[in-house]
Order: sequence, then structure tokens, then C-alpha cells
Amino acid sequence: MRRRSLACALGVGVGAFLASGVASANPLDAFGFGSRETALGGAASADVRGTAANYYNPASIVRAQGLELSIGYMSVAHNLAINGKNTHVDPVRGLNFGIVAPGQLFRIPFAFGLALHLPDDRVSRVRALRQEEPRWELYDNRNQRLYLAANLAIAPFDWLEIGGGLSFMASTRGSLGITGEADIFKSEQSTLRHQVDADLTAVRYPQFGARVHFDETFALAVVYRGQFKLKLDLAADVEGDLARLTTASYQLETHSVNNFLPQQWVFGGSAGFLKRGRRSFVHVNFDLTWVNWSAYEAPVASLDAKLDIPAPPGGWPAGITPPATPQKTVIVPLQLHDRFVPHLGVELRAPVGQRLEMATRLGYELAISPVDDQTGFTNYIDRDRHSFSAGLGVRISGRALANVVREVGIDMHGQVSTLVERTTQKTDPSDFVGDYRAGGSIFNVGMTLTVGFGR
Amino acid sequence: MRRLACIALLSCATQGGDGQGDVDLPRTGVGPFRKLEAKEVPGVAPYVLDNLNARYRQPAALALDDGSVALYVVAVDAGQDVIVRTRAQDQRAFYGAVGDFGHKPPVVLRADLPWEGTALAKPAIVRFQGRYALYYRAEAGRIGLARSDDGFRFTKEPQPVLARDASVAWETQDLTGVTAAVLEDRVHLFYASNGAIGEAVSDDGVHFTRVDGHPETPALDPVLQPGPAGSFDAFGVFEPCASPRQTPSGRLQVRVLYTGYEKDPAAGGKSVIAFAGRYGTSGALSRNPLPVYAVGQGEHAPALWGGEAYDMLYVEQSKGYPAIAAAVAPVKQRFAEPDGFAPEP
Repeated sequence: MRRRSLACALGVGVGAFLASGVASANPLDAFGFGSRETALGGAASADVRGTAANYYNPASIVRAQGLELSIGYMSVAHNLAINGKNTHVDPVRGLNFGIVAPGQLFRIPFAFGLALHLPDDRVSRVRALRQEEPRWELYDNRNQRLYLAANLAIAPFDWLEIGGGLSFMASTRGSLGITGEADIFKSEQSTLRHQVDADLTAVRYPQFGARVHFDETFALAVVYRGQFKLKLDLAADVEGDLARLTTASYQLETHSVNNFLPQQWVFGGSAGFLKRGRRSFVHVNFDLTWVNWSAYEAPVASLDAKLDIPAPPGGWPAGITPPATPQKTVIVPLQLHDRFVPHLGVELRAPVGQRLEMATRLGYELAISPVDDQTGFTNYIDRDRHSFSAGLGVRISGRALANVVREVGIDMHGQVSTLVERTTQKTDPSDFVGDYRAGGSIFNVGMTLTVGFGR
Repeated sequence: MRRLACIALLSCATQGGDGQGDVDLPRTGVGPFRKLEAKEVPGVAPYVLDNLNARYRQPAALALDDGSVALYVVAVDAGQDVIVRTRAQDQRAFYGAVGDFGHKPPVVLRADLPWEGTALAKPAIVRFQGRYALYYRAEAGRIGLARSDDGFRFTKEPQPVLARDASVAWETQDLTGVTAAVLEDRVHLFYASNGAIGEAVSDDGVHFTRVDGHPETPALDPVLQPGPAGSFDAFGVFEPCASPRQTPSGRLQVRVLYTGYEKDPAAGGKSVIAFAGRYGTSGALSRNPLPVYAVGQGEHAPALWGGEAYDMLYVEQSKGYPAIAAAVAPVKQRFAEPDGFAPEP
């Protein structure tokens, strides 16, 4: 049974690798993956098992006792306001899927895992804003992504698990060609043809982790997640007659980093208390995530345009002034700061009889904003974020279920994040955006159903 | 079968909307603006007030308590340049505009004092001490004041309240444009002369004292000078329109729109509408290096109306003859067709 499930999972995994052109990114950094771990404030690198380990610590997928499948739903609503007005940042909603298939390879415990976050609204969104346009930099566009990760893990010793894998991302290149005849007096009578050529190519970034456990109640973990850049290149070529006056040509090229995920190191620990036998009823977890925000590249398009509109014979008609070539964008550097993000989680496990276990969870996460106060030309808005989370879990195991099902778990989570309001004062009184107050809250709820197979 | 399932699964998430996140973004309220388009105005876009005979020009805007905007503009009446008033409830369909048959903006001020000459120009309207205060330019660049309780019937001050001061080094020409703003219970007049903008302050709105844009230097300086060589306002800055506001952080910000010329308009220099500002009640203005409105139609003489969701810019543009055009910011703002003209001016 285990061998068959492993083969099946490997098949799905290979398929995922081959299909990487439509793959992933990372709303999970912001909102977590799996209800149990989200309820623990993301403090899970040393105390995770099953499908959620695909994100929190790939090494821990090898802890699964059998084939494990999970399906969940996450809904994140933003209430992020500037000057007291909600800017209506899009929600992040979607299904979470996971699979872990353990087995043995040369008598060494081995597992394959796959995780997928599938958004409701869109697989991926490309958005290139002007650098002065206010936007919630970490929430506006970065989390509108599909995420896919595939991992392998082994346990070479009883006390050590190591694992790693790849996450995938699609890079976009596109060109836009427009030809035809433009009537500058009656625009609705213009006849223009356009041709769009877009190309999705895969960007992969690595992740790996290790977990050391000294007994059933104390473990340490380290996890690395790589960096990626999602590039957006767009070229436009417009050519045509202008009201039969002259022939115009307009060439435009933009290059930008549409999405940037900084590399991260996670150092975690988990300790169990109130032991009865080999089981602990209280688990306290702590993770410290180092995020390399200083390598961040702002998602601003560098624009290079060439405009050629020769004057018609006899000059321009009265009232017609040909436009000038747009100046090349001068990008103001955005310097972010590396940050340590602490996560704290507490789980109370209460067995009810032999086959039922209930769990209550609390979590906290503090993400100090890596973005400096935007007193100048740019407006990458962010604020310090305090996240408080809670959750419940029920796990049924044993022969109460059909013979093929080992256990069934249902976990729920709720998380409230507060982005502390702060005022930004512009140094230049002729700034078009001006001073603003920004802050808000984020609400995250979800549920995960996990089914473990095997006896 | 498995492939079909994967395709079905992925297809769930491929029909996303445009997305938001850009609703009610902060703005200083001074653009950049886009000109209004066909169907957004009753007549020929972007003009909201034009008449070949009246030759409406040099607008001044005043936000009224009911949300509408009153424009005081210069017009030709009986062969004389006078100041008339009109109003639009939706900021676009003005009383007496093209299509509003049977209505004509009433004259509220006419030159009739000896020092005024025969033409009035460049109105600037504010509310001060519970009354309407209308500043205007008369002959030889003299600035006059008329006050009113209802915005229609004005009583003039018998003498000009401001004129060129030959002792001020930079005021080598008559005052050409004026705007008024009430800052902390005092009237501040910003006036143009010789391609620069100066400032004078009054406690009662009548007796003005010039203030120095750069107190650190011994000379009395303007608060805004022409831009650097090659810039859109290198030739000079004219026709200021001042509009103070309190920023969301509680600071007083003085916003001044103005007409900038790259070179002498008599030599074909183009005009743009630009923005300069400062924090507080005194000091020089800082200019933004980008114009807020530039359409190559001879736009000049800006007037500003600020609302909760959008801001309107009124300028004089050339339609073969002078007329008042309108523009809006943010540029994403779109209007439906106007409901109807204001029933009263």
C-alpha cells in the first residue's frame, strides 16, 4: 500500500515539475499554509508534520506515518486604510492542497511531498505601478499568486530529518504590436490592429530544512527558502498613419521586477510539557525568521520610449501639437532592511479516549516593517504588523474509521493582524501625494481537512 | 483522466478580475489632471463655459456649502471687460453655458471707479470674516477689493489694496495676476510681476504688507521664481491660484497652481499649469518639476475646486477665442453625462 501510494505521488510530482511553467509564488509567507500552523502564528518549523511541512520545513514531511492528503480553504480580507479610507486591497482566497507519501529507500525513511495554493480569482497577477503611486507594497500584488512546492526528505538517523525541494514561479515576457490608422480628430474611427505575444517561463527557487529531535518533546529546526525575482518585460511597437497627415512610430520597452521574494532562514524550536507517558499535552513553539529584505528590488518599470512623428508637409494644423517623447524613467532606489520576524505558538492537546484528540492553539507573530518611512517621491507603504491567531483541531484515529483510513483531522484557524497606524510626512511641500496616515487590519480564517491513509 | 482533472482544477483560478487596491489613494489635490472628454461636459469637451461674444476667461473658483462650485470669470459685456458669476452643481454643467438656453451669467462687478480704467481682470474670491472678498486687477495692475454678503452684490473699496511697489527690486512690471488665500485668519495675496510671484499679508483684507520669500537675504524676494533653464517655466511664473489645506498629518499646506512659460509667449512660448507649495504661513514655495496640466492649447489662468473624491481644474484655453476648459484629477476619475445645468448662478 505504501509503495503504491509513493509511486502515485512521485508520478504527480514529476508532472508538477514538467508543468512548472504555470506554477507558483508565495502568499504563504504572509498568511501561512495549513490551519494548525497558522493558528500557531507560523511557529512550526520544529513542530510540523504532514502536508504543511512542505512549506514550514521540508524535512518534516518524512514524519508522516502514511500517505496523507489535505485540503483546506483560506480567506484573507484586508482592511488597509490610508487617511481613514479603505484602499480595497484584493482579498487572498484559495484552496490549499497537500500530499505527503512516505516510504523507504535503501531502508532509510523517505518521503515525497507536494503543496499547492490555488487562488480563487487568478493564477497570477502582473501589475507595474508608477513608483510614486501609493500602494501597500507587501499586500497589494505580491500575494496574488499560485504556489506550488515539491519536496523530498529522508531521516538518515532516528534523531535527524533533512529535506528539500523546489518552488516554482512563472516569469513573463511579452510584446505588444499595434499597427493601423489613427484618426486624431475622431478617435472612434481609428482602425488599429494589435498583436500580443506573451511567454511564460519557469523560475525555480530552492528550499530545504533540517530537524533534530532529542526526544519526543524537544526539537530544533533550521529552514532555508531561496530568493526569486519575477521579471516582467514588455515591448510595444506602434506604427501607423495619423489622419493621413503623417506616419508615426512609437517604440516602448519596459523592464521590471514584478515580484521579489527575499531569501529566508528560519531557526525554530519546540518543547513539550506536561508529559504523560511519551506524550506531551502542552507544546510551545518558537521560530525566528531572518528575511533578507535588503536585497529587495522595487516592482517599478523602467521605461524607454522612442517617438517619431515627422511634421506633415505644410506643418501641423492649427490646434494640433504633437506629443513629446516621454522621458526615460529615473527609478528612485528602494532600500529595505533585513528583519528578524519572531513567531510564538502554544498548543494544548487534550486526548478524549483512545481515538480522539482535541487541540487548542494560540499564536503571535511580529513583523517589523522593512520599509522606511516614505518621506520622498516614492510611496511603498507598509506598517509594523502584529498578528494574533487562534485555532481548534480535532483528530480521530484508529479503527473507528474504515480500514484504509488511519486518521482524520479537522483544523480551523482565525488570525487578526494589526498594522499599526503611523503618519508619513513628506519633506517636499510640492509632492503630489502629500502626507498620509496609514494602517489597518487583516483577517484570515480557514479550515483544513487532513486524511491519513494506512494502518 | 488525471490530466483532465488537473486542467479543471487550474481553470478555476484563471478568470480573475482587474483587481483593486488603488481606491481612495491619498493626493495633494492638485493633479496631475486630465482634460474632460466628450459626454462628460454638456458642450464641446473640454470646455464648460464658452461663448464667442462673451469670451469667458480668467476663472476663479469658490467651493460652496452645497457642494457646488461658483466660478467668477472675466467676460465681455457691452464692450467692457466685467466679472460675471456662474455655478455648477456637478462642477461641469454651468449656468449659462452652451446649451443652457435663456440663461446668462450675471455681471457682479464692473469698472466704475476712476483708478480702475475700463476693464476688470483676474478675479480671486475667498471667504473672509463671514463675507465674500473678491480681489481683482484693474488698470495699471492695481488690485482692488469688493465685498459681498451673498456673492452677487459687491461693495468696492474706494482705493486699490495693492499695486506695484517700485522700491521692490524685482517688481519691475505692473502686477499681472492675483490670488487670495486665508491662512490663520489673515488674507495672503499672491501676485505676479515680472515673471515671478510675490506675497503680501493683511489682517483686515484691505491693508497689505509684503512679505519676504527668503528672509535670510537682505532684499525682499518673491516666493516663487522662474524654473531653471530649459524647464517648462524657465521664462516666468504667472497667474497664481492659491488654495490652502490641512494635510492628514495636521500641517498647513499652501498649494499654488500657476501658469508657467518655457519662453516668451510673444515668441511662441508654450504655457503649462504647474504646482508649487509650502508648509506653513510663510516662506518660499517649492515647485514640482512636473506640470500638472499641459495640453498645448494655450492653457493658463488656473482655478481649483477640491472635493472629497476628485478635484477640478478650470483654465482658460484657446478655442479660436478664449473659453473655460475643465480637467479632473485623479485621472482615473470618470464622469457620466451631466444631469442638468444649475438652475441659478
